[in-house]
Amino acid sequence: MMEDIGDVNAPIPLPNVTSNVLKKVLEYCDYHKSDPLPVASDPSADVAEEARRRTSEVGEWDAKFIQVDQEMLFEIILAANYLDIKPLLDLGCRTVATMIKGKSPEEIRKLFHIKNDFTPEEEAQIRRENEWAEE
Amino acid sequence: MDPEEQSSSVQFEGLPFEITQAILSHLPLKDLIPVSLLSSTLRAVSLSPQITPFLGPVQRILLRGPPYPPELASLGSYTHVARNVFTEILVRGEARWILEEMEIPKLSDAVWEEVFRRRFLPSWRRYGEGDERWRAMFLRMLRRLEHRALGCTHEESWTRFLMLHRNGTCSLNRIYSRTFDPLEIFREIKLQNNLSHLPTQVRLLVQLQDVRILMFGVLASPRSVFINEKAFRLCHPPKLSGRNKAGWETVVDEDGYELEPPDHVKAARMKNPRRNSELPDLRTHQTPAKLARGRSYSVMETSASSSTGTTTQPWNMTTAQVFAPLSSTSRLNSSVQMLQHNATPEETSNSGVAAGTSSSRHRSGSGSALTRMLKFGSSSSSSNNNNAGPSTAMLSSSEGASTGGSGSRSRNWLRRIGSRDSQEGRSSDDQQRNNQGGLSEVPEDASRSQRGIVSEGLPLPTARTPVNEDGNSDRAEACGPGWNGIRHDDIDKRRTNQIDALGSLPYSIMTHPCPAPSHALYPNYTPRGQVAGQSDENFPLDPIFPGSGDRESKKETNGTNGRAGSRHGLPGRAGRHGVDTRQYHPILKERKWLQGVVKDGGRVVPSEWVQNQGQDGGEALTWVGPVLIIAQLQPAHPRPPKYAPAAASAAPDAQPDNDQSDHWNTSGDWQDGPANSLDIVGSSGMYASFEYSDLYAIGGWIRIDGETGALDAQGASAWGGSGGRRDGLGFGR
Repeated sequence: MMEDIGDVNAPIPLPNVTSNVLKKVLEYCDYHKSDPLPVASDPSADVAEEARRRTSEVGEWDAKFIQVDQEMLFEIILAANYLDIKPLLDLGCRTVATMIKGKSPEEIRKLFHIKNDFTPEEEAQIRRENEWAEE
Repeated sequence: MDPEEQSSSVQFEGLPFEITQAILSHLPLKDLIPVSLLSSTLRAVSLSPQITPFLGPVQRILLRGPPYPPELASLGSYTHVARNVFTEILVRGEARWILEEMEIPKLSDAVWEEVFRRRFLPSWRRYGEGDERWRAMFLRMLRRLEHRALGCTHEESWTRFLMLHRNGTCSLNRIYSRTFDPLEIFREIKLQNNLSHLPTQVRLLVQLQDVRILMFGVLASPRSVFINEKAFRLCHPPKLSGRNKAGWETVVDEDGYELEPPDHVKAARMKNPRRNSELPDLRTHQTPAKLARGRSYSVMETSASSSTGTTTQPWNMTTAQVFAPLSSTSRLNSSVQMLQHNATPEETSNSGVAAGTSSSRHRSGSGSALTRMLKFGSSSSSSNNNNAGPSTAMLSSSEGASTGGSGSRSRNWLRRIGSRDSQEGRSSDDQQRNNQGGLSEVPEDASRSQRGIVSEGLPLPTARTPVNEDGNSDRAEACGPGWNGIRHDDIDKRRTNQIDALGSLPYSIMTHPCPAPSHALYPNYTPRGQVAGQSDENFPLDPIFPGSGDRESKKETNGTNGRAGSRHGLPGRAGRHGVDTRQYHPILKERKWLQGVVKDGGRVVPSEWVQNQGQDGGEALTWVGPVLIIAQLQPAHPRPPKYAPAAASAAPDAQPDNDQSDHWNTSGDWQDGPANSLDIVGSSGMYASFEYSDLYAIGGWIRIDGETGALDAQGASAWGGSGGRRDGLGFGR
């Protein structure tokens, strides 16, 4: 991002991140500022870091941090994606996945306001596939 | 606030597709299937081969190995699952499970060919019959494997193997499968090459899904006149040579070559247009490049077929990456992994790297008969090159192999014979044998022109902010007419930022055949131990599709963490699986385990540093004499030991030996402690044929040419000789 700006003294525009979300992001970054970073010259560093995040459980602080409403959660995910904060992005994605796990399709639809936009023909096809798979 | 009551401006379906995919990839397959059918948008994401969230859960299941959950077996009955998911299942799934339980979806013949090529050794195509379809060939090959893994040799009466001679030549041999015993064969080879006093080393070159490639040889002082540099190069590709470090002299050897088959192999492939015409060009396909930041908003130009699920380069790359258990803390002693056996009495003097050549079973039965036959073959080789029949000789060799020194003696007893073994499909190999000369490296220019596995030269995408002012993604703008208003092309263009950490690996990752997860980066590294990943703990990383190593899987596999490798100071799983960081972090301690260099009379002889057992020190050793290259039936995910064919067949007379070295157990895991050679070499019938084309596939940086190829300005081949001719006792330039 700094390379994109060019002038190091120029303000960094964040048009897609609101102040509330940015506060949360900064809070997260501040807490994790001392976390080890991968060595830049190591080509496997990104992947190793990815592995570390995948295998690590959500910490207590992270779990408390991410306990926000759904709108804020999605905003944090978008901001983390935009700002390329992979641990935060991963935390957000895992949180959403946890919200989905174990719920019925109707519960998920209601939770995330997902509209059933299938045509009757498509619904019939889906039903047939499900029946076939469950046999 | 109750999330169910709120009305958020950013909703789940409003997230970029890549984030949706990232979220769904965390779900287990059981939950993912219904979620992907909640709306047309989620269904379209699932159907897209580029961003389908099914790959992550499926690959996590495949990495754990059998038993698989029932959802995986029935996945083929769903039409909204991207077809490339099934490619992965067919390549990585257990053979018996595919044959007996999997709901196999309808796939194009090109996809079946891709599956065949990724799963099996190239030479196994000879089992194809006429114009039969790849699907039939693939499934029949699976049945053959299943059958032969039981110890029955009916499907393949003759087992072929290669001998790489010290002068750089190579010979193709075959032996009756029922008596095929590589340890016994190599014991005889050592005897005839005056190498009996040296212990046999068994080196795992690479593990594939169903077989692993082993090299039998001996290590000796670099001062030996029997040095086999090609054998060393097969274990240590040029680009992975050591780096300069204090206290060590290293070979300045950066001129490696890409993993490419030689020209005549590619030409042979072109002769069969039917089997190649439908296959997408895997070399020229663009791969996703790394974004400057962010996982979304990348608009990548890929030519992947989104609707058919045809396997294309990004998929191949994705596969390799997904199965790449990377770690920055890997250690390099992996490449001196040795499979050591009990030593015969004449070999016990070299206990440092001791590995016996035969077990009690081998000594008593077929071994003596084999010895007689080998001697018989030696005495009659000059007159009987053909049609000797299986009952009179056990071994056959390539004619015209200009082996010298020890190689010529080996050639004498390795007679070429006619047999029931079909000659069909061997024309290319026979021609190669007849014309073979020295081994030389693949020309760098030719190979580099065709590389493309790792992303190279791709422009970095710059667009990354398609978020409207209201905070929503502008995805709707990109969605043109199509299935329910969503065009798959648009979805495919939104391929996310994939981790491109493999871009700077010295070699392109082998894709055909596809190495097992434990060798995911082959030939860029060779792990020291641990063949099969049994859990996410072993494979903590899913670099493309998140979700591996989640809490559930970690809890399931807590007991399996990092046993192998700990003996040598390796940090558990990181030591077992990881990027070979020789290029980036050469450490003296690691290099001691890899390869040092010994100067001998002004010549630099590449050597391996072998740590003596029970001692602090070690010595630099190099490969001498001919080496044997075989394919052993050993699944990447073997069943429990009590069901493992090797264990079952070896149980009656298996005797643990006294060798205290590390070894491979019947489960394919690396263990510390006493080894049983039967565990390592398997029993009769536990091998598959290995031919020239297979050597080209797994060792693309060397080749047997003799006719063309890697000649430098002085007309000398890269590794000895000129114009393919032997360059004196195997010494390099």
